Amino acid sequence: MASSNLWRSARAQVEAELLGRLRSPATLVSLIGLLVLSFLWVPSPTSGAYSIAWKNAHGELESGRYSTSFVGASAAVLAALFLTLIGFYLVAGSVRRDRESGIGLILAGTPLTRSAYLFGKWLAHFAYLSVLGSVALATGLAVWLRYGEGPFALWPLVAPYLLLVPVGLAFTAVTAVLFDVTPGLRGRGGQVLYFFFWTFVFLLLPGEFYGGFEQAPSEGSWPLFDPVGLATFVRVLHHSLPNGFGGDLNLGLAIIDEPIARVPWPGIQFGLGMVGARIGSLLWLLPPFALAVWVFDRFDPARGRARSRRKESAEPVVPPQGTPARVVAPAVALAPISTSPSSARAVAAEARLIWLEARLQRWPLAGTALAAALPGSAGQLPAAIFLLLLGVVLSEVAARESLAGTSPLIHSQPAVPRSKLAWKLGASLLVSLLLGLPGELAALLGGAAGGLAWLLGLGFVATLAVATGSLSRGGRLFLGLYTALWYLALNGKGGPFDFSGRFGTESRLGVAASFLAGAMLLMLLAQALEHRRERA
Amino acid sequence: MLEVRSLTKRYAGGVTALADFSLQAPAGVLGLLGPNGAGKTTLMSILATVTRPTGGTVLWQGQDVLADPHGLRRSLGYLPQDFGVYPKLTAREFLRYLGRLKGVAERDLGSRIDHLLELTNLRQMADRPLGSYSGGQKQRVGIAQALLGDPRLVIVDEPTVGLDPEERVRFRNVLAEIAHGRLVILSTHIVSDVEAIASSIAVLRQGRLLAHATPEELLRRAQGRVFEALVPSERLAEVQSRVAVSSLVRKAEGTRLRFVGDPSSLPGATAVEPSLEDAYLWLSRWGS
Repeated sequence: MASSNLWRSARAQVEAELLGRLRSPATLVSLIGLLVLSFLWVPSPTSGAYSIAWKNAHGELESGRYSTSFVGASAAVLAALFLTLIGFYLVAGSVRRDRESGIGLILAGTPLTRSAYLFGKWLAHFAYLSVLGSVALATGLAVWLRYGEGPFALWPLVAPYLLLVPVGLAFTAVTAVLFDVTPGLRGRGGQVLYFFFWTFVFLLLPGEFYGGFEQAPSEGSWPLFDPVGLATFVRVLHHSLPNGFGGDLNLGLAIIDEPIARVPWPGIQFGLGMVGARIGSLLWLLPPFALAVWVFDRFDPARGRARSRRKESAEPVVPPQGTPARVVAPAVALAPISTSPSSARAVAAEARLIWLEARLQRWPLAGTALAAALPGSAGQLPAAIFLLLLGVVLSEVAARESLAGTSPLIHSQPAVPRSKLAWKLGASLLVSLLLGLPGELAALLGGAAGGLAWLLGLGFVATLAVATGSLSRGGRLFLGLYTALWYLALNGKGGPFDFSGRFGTESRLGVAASFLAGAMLLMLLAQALEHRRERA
Repeated sequence: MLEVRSLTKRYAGGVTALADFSLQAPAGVLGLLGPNGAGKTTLMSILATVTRPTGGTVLWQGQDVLADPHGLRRSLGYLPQDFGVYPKLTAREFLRYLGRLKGVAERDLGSRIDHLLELTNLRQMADRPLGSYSGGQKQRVGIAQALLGDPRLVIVDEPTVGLDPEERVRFRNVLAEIAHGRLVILSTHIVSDVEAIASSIAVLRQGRLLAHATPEELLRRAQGRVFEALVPSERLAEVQSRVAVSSLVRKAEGTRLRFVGDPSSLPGATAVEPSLEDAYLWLSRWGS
């Protein structure tokens, strides 16, 4: 009986969440982004670019021929990597939304238990991410139809996905639930932390524990903790490559000048140990889920306030003798006051608010902004972290009013310009340029092109944040896309993703300009939609 | 001061919230009364320049508001029915931000905020994050921001929701006091809120204006339409389906009803002096 109730409530939540999310413009933008990324991820075999490569037992660089199994593996690795990273930003915030919209209080008055509610959230996250994942799979099929060689077979195309992706999505979903219910992690601080959590716990820890990605894995059992599945994938390659696996697995779109050998890859040879380890690794979902259930306050404000109440009771405020505890001042007429609203003041006020709202991030942001002034490679890492934090701080600027429900208050103010997006963009650019000044000095030392690329990069972050924030009416889509791009730029040490000219040794002005141009196109789309919304 | 001509608002789903609505309002307190869905919030949202109407004209001191919304916004203090706050900001920070968007000079801003915090009884908690405020305290922040500039037009939608009785009376007095030389538009379901301070009352139903008159005029219109009668308790349900009951008191001999409607349906009913609530009930049910 209890389990049927659990499934019924979970099903209801999955339906409600899926319907809400699938109707959101954020899903459309995510699907388009994933579609583009999927096509880029499996480049033409004659282009000189590759996304998955390794060294064979003789130390020679190899990649796979575009058979269904290799294309399927490429699509699966892409989905496993990016949906576990971006997916978090797309699904996190659901409990927070219930809390802020008041739905949580309504649910709290029903017999729904904490575990049933959170299980429903987990399942809804998993289902939504699976919908997105299926796009990567479908794109894999399209890519094979275009570049593929050999006969088509469905199972080799789908098998890598089934082996790697669902486990990763399950871990992402449970982490989103845990972060959502944990005070201090449910806001933007948690969103920053997740990136590092994903890098170290989901990606590097299994890699290090099970032999790493730089060398051939040692013989032994299949990884029992491998959320993203890369350690498992390395072992699969080790067992199946015709010329052996010498390590040095490269993931990410890269272009090489020397010819790369493309070898036939027979695909995954499934075994009981491999499948058992993947299924068994799902047991790791239980501790974070149990922790989430334990931490979750079930929307009871008294639990959240217990600490502050204890603090208050430790320092009682005693009203002076002879005065009432609550002083009611007499109503006083308003004195005349002069006002001079202007768009410039509105932009400045908004820029100040961006700084005020970034309570957790502003000092690390200022610190890395200053450290980005270090010349050459010394300033590269601080500049990269500065750009990441800047993205976090700007992520909700365009959607702040709709997220907090302040639209009628703010949009009726005289200083707010006719174009809200221009206002938000102005404030975001102001914050970006002021904080990016030290980095600009360092970039200029490397040449005018570097200085200009850095400015274009700052403009790109601000424009993309405002455009995607307006399109999705939230900040998570931007954070997901931007963090993935930032990761690609950092991992690629520059190259085609270096939107600011500071990730590599060489500033590519054209790359930075292209990214800014793309963001401006999105901005135009956002402006058109904003105009349509206003007219409705 | 304010003139509304043939205002119409149709939403994308085909719902008509306002239909050919016209009104003139001089300085003073204009109370808006009407049942849920009457179009009060849509009207206020249009007057506050947040929503664009489908048709019609709004003139503020002779200027077309739809052509130049900024002209009215400079004179506007607006408290919407549902509004959010930024939970991480303190009340003082939030008011400072809004003060800048209203264009209040920096030299005046601090003292103005202090004055309004005092006025709304928020001074002692002004530096706490808004996320820790109760519903009534947030409402008071909303009231403070509406008065932050030097508004000539104050639009307040259900302003007393969540306030305790003491604060309600206090806020009513503030509105009455600032209405000298200004126009205050107050929408509410609580008839006693407008009864106390409104210089005129507009009654809306289904997006149309049923009446716009002084409270005295509305009372006069309800003369001879309000009655009291003693009804056996077992007939109560049947009687309630025929008349609009404004109050009832159970007694040993039956239930004493106060109702608006046709006295012939209850023999023995005696006419009584109408209250504004009775007048509103009569208008919203039978007025046209």
